[in-house]
Amino acid sequence: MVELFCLSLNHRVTPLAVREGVAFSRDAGVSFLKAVREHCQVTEAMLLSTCNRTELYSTLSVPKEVDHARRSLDLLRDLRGFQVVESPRNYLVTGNQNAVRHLFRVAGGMESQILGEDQILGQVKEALTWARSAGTSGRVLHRLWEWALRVGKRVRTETAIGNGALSASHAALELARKVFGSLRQKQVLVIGSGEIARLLLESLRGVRVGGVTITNRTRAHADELAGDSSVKVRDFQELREALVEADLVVSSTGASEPIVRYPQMKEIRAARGGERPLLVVDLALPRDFEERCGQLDQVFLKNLDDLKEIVQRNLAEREGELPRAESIVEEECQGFFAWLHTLEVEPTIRIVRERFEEIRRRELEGLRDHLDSEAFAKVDRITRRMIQRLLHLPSENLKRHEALRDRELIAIFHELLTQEIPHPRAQRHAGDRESE
Amino acid sequence: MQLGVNTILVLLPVLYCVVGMGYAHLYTRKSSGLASHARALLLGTVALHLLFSLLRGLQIGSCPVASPAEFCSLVAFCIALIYVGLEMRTSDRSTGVFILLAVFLMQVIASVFILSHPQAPERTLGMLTSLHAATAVLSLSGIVVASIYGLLYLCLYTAIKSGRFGLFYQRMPSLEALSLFNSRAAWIGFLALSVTLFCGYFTRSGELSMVARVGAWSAEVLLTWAAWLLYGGCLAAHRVLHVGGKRLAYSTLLGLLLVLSILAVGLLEEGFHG
Repeated sequence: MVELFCLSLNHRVTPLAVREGVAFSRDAGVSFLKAVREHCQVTEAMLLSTCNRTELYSTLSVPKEVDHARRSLDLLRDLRGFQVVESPRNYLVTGNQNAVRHLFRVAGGMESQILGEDQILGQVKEALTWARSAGTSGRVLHRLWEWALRVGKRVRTETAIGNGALSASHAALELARKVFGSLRQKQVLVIGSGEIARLLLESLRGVRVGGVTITNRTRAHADELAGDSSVKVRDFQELREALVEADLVVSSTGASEPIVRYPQMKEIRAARGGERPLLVVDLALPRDFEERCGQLDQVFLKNLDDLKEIVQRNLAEREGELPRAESIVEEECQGFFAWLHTLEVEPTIRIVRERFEEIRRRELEGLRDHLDSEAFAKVDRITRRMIQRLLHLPSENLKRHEALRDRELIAIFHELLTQEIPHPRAQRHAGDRESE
Repeated sequence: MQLGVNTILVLLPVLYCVVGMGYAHLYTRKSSGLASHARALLLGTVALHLLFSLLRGLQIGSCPVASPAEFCSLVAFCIALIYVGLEMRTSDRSTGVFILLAVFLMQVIASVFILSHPQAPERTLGMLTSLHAATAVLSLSGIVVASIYGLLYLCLYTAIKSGRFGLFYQRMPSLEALSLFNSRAAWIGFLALSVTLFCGYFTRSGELSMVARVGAWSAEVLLTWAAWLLYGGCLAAHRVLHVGGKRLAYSTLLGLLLVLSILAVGLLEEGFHG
């Protein structure tokens, strides 16, 4: 019988300071998995370690969950200094259905701090390679992991749980995509070189844009922020020209007065010509662009409050998708346990098949001298096919029947189909002989 | 054949309604699972509509535009066809609900009218007149689609400007994409309208009284030329001066008003095209 177990130290129950201590790098994770196999008597083990969670999944052949949890916690204490706190509990232990459901929820981004984020899928995939390296990945957990990755993808494609930006810099890019569609040929101008500018540049790293330019009153700061990347730096005196060329502008200077006023923007708008839209995301406080600039045709001026609204709406939409994501997780949980169940009846089916095959062979051997080789081969083929057909329905029913989710019933069926139960009369005779 | 035609006439509005509801569901929930079903059903419905047009054409022996209702049905078909083309090229399904609403309404009017007036006068059109009628249908369809996209562009433009980031904002494609759809559909409408005018001018069969009145510069003809000049001017400005977005959207809407007034004048004066 396979028992599934999960020990989770996650952002819901474990404080950040404690999570920091139990976060694993690849090498440390592989060593830990080897130690788990050695000390915790598990058959298979997987370790998922991200900034928000460290989770150990394992399969046990002995159903003693509490002991195993204690051993795992002791190992974490010995190797990583993890101190168990029982009230309120700073760890989570789940088994079987709940452990599988938890993993599927994790893969679907439903347990993430940022609901629906998709980095977790890569981290789940990474956990599989750690277990392979440690040699702790087996048939059950490997299948469970593949299943979890599939659930993660299903949740993201069939629901909108991963849609919409949840940070200001990503919301600015989302807004830009809503105006321009693709940003491939668009020029991005970043005004300022503070934290917001840095975050925006980071967000832009994975996005194909026509070009990025930074301008700042102190040029050295802009140079420093641009570093060795392909980002262009322009003098602040060239702001007008830079605004004429730009499509998306993100401004976050510390200026106490607007750096662009309405008449100036009107002139810039005229210089741009045609109907080229200009999206200005003003993240500065006080604002860098005079509010009236947004009244100009094809000039979209958005500020921090606008981005906050986008983020809140996106979050609400993601939360609204949770029930659909939950139903996918439930459906897949049932699917996984149906598969796991087939593992439990597999030995019974195998033994029954072997016995049938043995009888067939024995009977066939008796015919060998009476048949020529061609007829013998034909009988061999026919009897093999006959047995396959005879056993197909009972085998499939054994795998699928709901009643056989009960382990006691599986044991009874196993005994009935695979073991010889002595005849009552023979048993009585044996008893009589013993008494004599 | 009549029974088959009538059955399809009843089925078409129902099917467009179901497809429209599928796209509405897609718009509100953005479920990709439903998307493939909605598209398959739309393709099936468009194919059935094509079958209807062919059967009707065989029945009357020419392009099936014998009455305003049939004209309406053909326009609905062409709008759906143009939308299918745009959807296949861009994979955008969020605007389908708006286009299919127009298709559904037109087909409901067409089906009700055709079924309630089974003895409507039937006219057999010549080759050139058939081409004139078919391109007129296509041009109106292109203009309707362009106008819907123009309207959506203006709504999204206003939503972004005023900071209304609700469902409409979330579901619509980008402004640039809407502007592109607008211009593409406007091109289809403009080119088809050019052929319509060309054929109309050279038709001398007398099948359509409007054609006979071409030289007389009636209100219909004047409005048609005005619409052609408006679209031609806008699209030239779009191509050469990169004037697009808002101005193109307003122009296509104005063009639709002109085209609708052509139809209204035609109907009010002497019935549809005389």
